[in-house]
Amino acid sequence: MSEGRRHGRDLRVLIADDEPDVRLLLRLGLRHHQIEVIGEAANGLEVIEFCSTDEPDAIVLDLLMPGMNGFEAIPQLKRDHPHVGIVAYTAVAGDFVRREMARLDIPLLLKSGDSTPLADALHAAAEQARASSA
Amino acid sequence: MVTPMTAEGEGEVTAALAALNVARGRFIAVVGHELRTPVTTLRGLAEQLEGADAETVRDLTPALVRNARRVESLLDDLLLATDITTVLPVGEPERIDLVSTAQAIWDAFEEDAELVLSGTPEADVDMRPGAADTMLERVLDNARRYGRAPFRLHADQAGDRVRLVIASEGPELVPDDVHLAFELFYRGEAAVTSAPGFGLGLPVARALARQDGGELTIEPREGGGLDVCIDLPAAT
Repeated sequence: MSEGRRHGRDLRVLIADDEPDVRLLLRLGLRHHQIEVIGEAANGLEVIEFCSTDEPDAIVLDLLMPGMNGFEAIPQLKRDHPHVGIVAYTAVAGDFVRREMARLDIPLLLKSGDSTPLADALHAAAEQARASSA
Repeated sequence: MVTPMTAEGEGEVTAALAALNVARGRFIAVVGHELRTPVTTLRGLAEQLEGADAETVRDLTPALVRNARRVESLLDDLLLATDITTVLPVGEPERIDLVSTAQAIWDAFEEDAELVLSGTPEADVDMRPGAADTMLERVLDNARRYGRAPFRLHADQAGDRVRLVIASEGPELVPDDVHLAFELFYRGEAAVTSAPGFGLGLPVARALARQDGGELTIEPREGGGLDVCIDLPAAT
């Protein structure tokens, strides 16, 4: 079990994944880690729309989604919402994905049944985004 | 006596090994990707059951069942499309109307767009239990995932053959997409970046059509989109 308490204030997080059951799992798993899930999105367009009205501290971003995928959403999010942390969350990551996320300076996590590494990455990404845009 | 290999022979072996390596890499990448999501989700959801209240259990149960079924379905597709016959439907063929079956499957998708029917209102064939449903589900699901409205189904019966054409609009297919549509684990560029899947939908549908004496082919539509043609013996 994660040490949710070691982080500061509760984090406001948006979950973006086209799989409803993955969203359900994240919603349930992240609540133990000082994280408040403030919204869910099924593709990149919904993420951008959500952020335009209620900016989260961080986003869990699946990379493979219909409509607008994560790769397409990241540049726009970084430009329009630089103080929002982004964590790329994907089932598998080949060389291309790893290179792209490194190039875009986006932390990359493999999907897992354990939400602790994701929670830690979200807190770190939010903190880094806040610091770099301050 | 062992005959020494010629330089030409060595080249052929090297090319064959390279092709095998590409196929193996594609297999591992696609299977790994498609199975990882439901398996990790199953694990995570199961762990959430521990100490969960009644309301959470009510939310978790259908999600657990859905993901377990998805793993089962992916495994069946994998075996079926790779000509492993152990999961081919068994039992005596039974009469089934492909048009009403396709309509029922489409309705269950709850798509906004309707399936536009034309041609003969009934198209009866004899197929093994479950085969027609799975075959049509794969073709229609492929159309809605990668195509766009209007979605059309045209049925014809000529003599002792039934022909179904399922058409969808969509992007113009690149030659690779057409040639490789039945290549196992091949997924078009648009599919790879937008939707999950093994890339086995059409191979599975074709295996089922062939099992009952039919054939499944695809034809790109002029201006974009795809016709999937199913030809089967009419019911006797």
